[in-house]
Amino acid sequence: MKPVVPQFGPPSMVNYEIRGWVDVLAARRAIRILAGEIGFLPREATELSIVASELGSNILKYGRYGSLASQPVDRAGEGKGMTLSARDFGPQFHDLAMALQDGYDDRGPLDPMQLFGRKGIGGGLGAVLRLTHSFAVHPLADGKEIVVVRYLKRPKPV
Amino acid sequence: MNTNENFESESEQRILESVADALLVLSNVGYGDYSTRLELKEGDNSPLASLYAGINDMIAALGTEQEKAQQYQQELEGKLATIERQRIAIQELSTPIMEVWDGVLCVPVVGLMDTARSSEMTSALLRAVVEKGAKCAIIDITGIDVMDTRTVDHFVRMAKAVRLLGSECVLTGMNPHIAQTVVHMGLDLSNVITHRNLRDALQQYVDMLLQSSS
Repeated sequence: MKPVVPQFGPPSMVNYEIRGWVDVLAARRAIRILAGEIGFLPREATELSIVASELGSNILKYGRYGSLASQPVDRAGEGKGMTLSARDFGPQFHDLAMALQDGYDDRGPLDPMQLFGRKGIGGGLGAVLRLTHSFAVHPLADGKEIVVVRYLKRPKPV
Repeated sequence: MNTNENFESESEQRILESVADALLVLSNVGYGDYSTRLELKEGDNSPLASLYAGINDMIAALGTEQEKAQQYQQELEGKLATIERQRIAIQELSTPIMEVWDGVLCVPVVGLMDTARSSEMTSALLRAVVEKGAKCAIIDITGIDVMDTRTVDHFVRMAKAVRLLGSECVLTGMNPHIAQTVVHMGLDLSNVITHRNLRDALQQYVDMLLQSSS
């Protein structure tokens, strides 16, 4: 997959193969720029690049390798926004409900001693949930895809 | 008749030999030897000689292409190595912990604060506080415009851990949005000093030092 970075003209899409940390850095920067072009405020665009960074680093930590893609959306009733999809070729979640909790990863609670170490703080997916308006995991034959959406205006609760 | 037949079989023989030579050279090329060439006799204008010349040109062109490809390969490997070194450098630079005064550490945080970065920074800072016997750690977050709430929580816990290690912890450069998040989450910053910027923090600490020594 060739990386496509929107530079001039109307917002297009972003698609990066994620095989290493350099790819995550490039993808999250492109996503921040795309978010700005779609109309998100600078702070919101930074939040979306945090989402990209969390999903991207999870691909590297747990998903072996994969891709990060993003494109504008315009849905009836919700308005304009942006989707982010993190596709990986790794294992499925063991316990998604637990993995979504802060302080936990897919295997269980993170040792508080390790919270000050290099394994992360178990808050990545929590951050993704807080910074987006919808979250879905699609298990695939050879991996999985996480798709999140954020709209320019927060959708009204049903 | 005899001589004619002899002549014909002789040329046939020569053609067969030439073909055999050509096949040998081409198989060498197949094994990667681009320096091999077919022998041409001076002044030989026969069609076979033209074919030989053509084949030699082709082998030469392949050789040049192969050299170019090897060069590109080496350049690419060099560039990849550079990228890897730069990545490591960025990681090192991303959490510079500077000793700006005796026992006073300063951590200027810039860029994106995601959960990976916050945990890396925490371990680096706590290690530095212990190793350097720091009396004060000033964490400047002017360069951070947004953090997820959990990351803010982790940050505050890190500041408390610094206090537990016996060092003052000062947070500077908090922007209104992050300040709102802290308040909204009901986080307790009572043991953590905050200032608007690094200069004020340093000024206050130095004043305190001078006062206590006088």
